[in-house]
Amino acid sequence: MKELAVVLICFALLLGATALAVETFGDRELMVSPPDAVAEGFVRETLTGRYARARQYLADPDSMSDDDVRALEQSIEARVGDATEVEAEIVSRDDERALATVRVSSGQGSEALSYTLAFDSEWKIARSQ
Amino acid sequence: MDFWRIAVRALVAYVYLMVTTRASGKRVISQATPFDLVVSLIVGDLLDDAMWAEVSMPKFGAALSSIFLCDAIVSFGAHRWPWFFRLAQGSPTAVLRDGVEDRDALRGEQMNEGDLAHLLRLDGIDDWSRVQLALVERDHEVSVILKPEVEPAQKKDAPRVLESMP
Repeated sequence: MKELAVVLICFALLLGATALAVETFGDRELMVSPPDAVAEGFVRETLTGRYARARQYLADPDSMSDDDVRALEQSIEARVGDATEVEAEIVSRDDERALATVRVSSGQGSEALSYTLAFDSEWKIARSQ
Repeated sequence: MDFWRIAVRALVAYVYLMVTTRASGKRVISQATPFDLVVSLIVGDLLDDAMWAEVSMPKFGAALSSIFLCDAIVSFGAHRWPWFFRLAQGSPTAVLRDGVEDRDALRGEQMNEGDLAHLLRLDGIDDWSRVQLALVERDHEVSVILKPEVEPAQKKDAPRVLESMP
């Protein structure tokens, strides 16, 4: 049972280190996923049909239903086709809010999607534009 | 993402993985079972997600700790109850007795006679009639017990040999 205790202690230390980094040192992209990774993750999950996982990237997962995310996937695919590349970058960022764009590219063309993210323990998508 | 952030995340993930791996008492690779390989693949995927910031470090820690906790609980159960050990770790399968292969046992291990011959040759055994018992162990290695009469003579055999001499 010593192993269990050590693993739990390690996890508690990691949680403590993360809380310290975020709350005391204002870390927003080292111990937590940065806003561009969150926005990119949302688009990737959406385009691969994992709607429930995509909704977990939202500040309020209930603000979109699986059908809403599916509609978003279909609208992106209607404009861009089957995506071959998804790449995000941060446009602006402060400690509480960030704006990120996600460029979806395919042989047909590409499109940039913008997302506003809010920080509440971790970055979440507050709004898509 | 900045290179230094990738480096720091990799370092944190590495240290966390090293400490939890040591705490869970992982075996060396040569003793690994097929299930250990599956666990290694899962851990590798978690590490990848953590390094590229696809998940936060606490989520990485929660997932990794859960895997190792499950592993530690299974190890604890296997250590405490023999029936659980057999359930979790499997048991050796006799595939060759007195020089005769057990085809059903070989099929159960997804091996054919060629595979068995290959593994026995690695032990320097070409003549199956010398084998009293060959077992496929939990790590898929074959262990071999030779018939006593073909084992090399040892010092303890000397009195018996002397007695049999005219």
